[in-house]
Amino acid sequence: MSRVNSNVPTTVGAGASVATHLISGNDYQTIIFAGPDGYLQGLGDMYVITALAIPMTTPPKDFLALINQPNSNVILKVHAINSWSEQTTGIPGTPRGIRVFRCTSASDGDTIANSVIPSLNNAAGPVAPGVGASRASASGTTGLTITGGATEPLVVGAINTEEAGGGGLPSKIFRALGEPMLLSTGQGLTMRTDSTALGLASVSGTIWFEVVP
Amino acid sequence: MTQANNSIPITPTDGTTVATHTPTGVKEYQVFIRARADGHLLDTVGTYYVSALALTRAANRNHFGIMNYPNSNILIEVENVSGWIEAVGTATGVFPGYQLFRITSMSGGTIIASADIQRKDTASPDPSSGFAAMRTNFTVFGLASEALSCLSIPEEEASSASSTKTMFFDKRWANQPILLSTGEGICVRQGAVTGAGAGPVVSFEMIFKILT
Repeated sequence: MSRVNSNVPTTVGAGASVATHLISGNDYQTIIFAGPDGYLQGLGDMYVITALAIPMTTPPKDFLALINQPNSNVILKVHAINSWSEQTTGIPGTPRGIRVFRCTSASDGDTIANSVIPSLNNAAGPVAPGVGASRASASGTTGLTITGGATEPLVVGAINTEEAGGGGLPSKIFRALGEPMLLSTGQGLTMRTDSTALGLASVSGTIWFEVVP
Repeated sequence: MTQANNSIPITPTDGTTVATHTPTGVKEYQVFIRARADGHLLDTVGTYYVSALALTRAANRNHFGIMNYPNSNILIEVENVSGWIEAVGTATGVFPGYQLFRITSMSGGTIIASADIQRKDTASPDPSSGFAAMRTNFTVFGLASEALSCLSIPEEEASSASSTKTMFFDKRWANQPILLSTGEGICVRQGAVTGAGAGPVVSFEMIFKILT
């Protein structure tokens, strides 16, 4: 691995220099990319929340929610959303829809404590206090109670519950590809199954998000 | 989270020239080299590959992991973790879940020798003594309460899904890797379901970088 091996002096005795890499007598200025908010790319405080093997009863079912609560003083950037099914027995399955809606709050589920939400970099510390995450209970029949839910979904996808038809493959519900979903204060997302029961199948989901001060 | 913290008024008097390129018939362009946020030139950090092939499935079994041991003086960046089934017999399919957890240590499995760890560029050095990769039913300590990533792996031979790699993590999802500082590791752990039949065996792979 290499780091820059040369530099161009800056002005007026500041002692600093511009990073360059010297190759055959030519100085290549070396640049680091930043986003439009000035934060360096690749150093975000990135976290993930998960709902595992939630029974597909009482559809539609809200099974995983991420909320940026009012007065949190942070912005959430959602970079990726996955969904899949985990089954312990073969069932006559069909592809079922998974929708992601904007909302303003979620209740009646199991709260995921900010202190245990995993980070891609432990140096980032726990998730900011104003961020809330919850999932439907794995033992309950009902899902989260959502308020302020949008009429139209923000992104949609499907999972297959049929083991002989591609069942079990993860569905890439959302990929930011450089442009994440933004959740300002008072805004959230919920993952919801469609209106048809999935028999004995279960649904799982993950949301990968970044917290920006 | 870091923001740029400097400005660059340049006085080019050191005798070297600024690298430029002049395409035929057009203007002269300054040529830049991209660097990572930590200052390493892009694509110059060694990339390594380890795998754990055809493992026996069992509920709550730790199958595959890597560790950055305390005082190693390295940083590990995990770029990709995937898994799949290699069946040697038919099975009535189910798709049990697997999880990727942070851990603080591991023992009792089969260590993959540093010299055997594959790399994209053979000039990349062997992983240091502060690094370990392990497979095959081992014990972990400091298992996190929440998984870093989770997915299921299809087992049904009648479905093409069973031969498809299931990706637990890819750095492109979040535009950054999983960072393992000293004293940190990760492992792939099977969920509470063993899976169906005796035919399928499960395999995993991991792609990572080591920074010194």
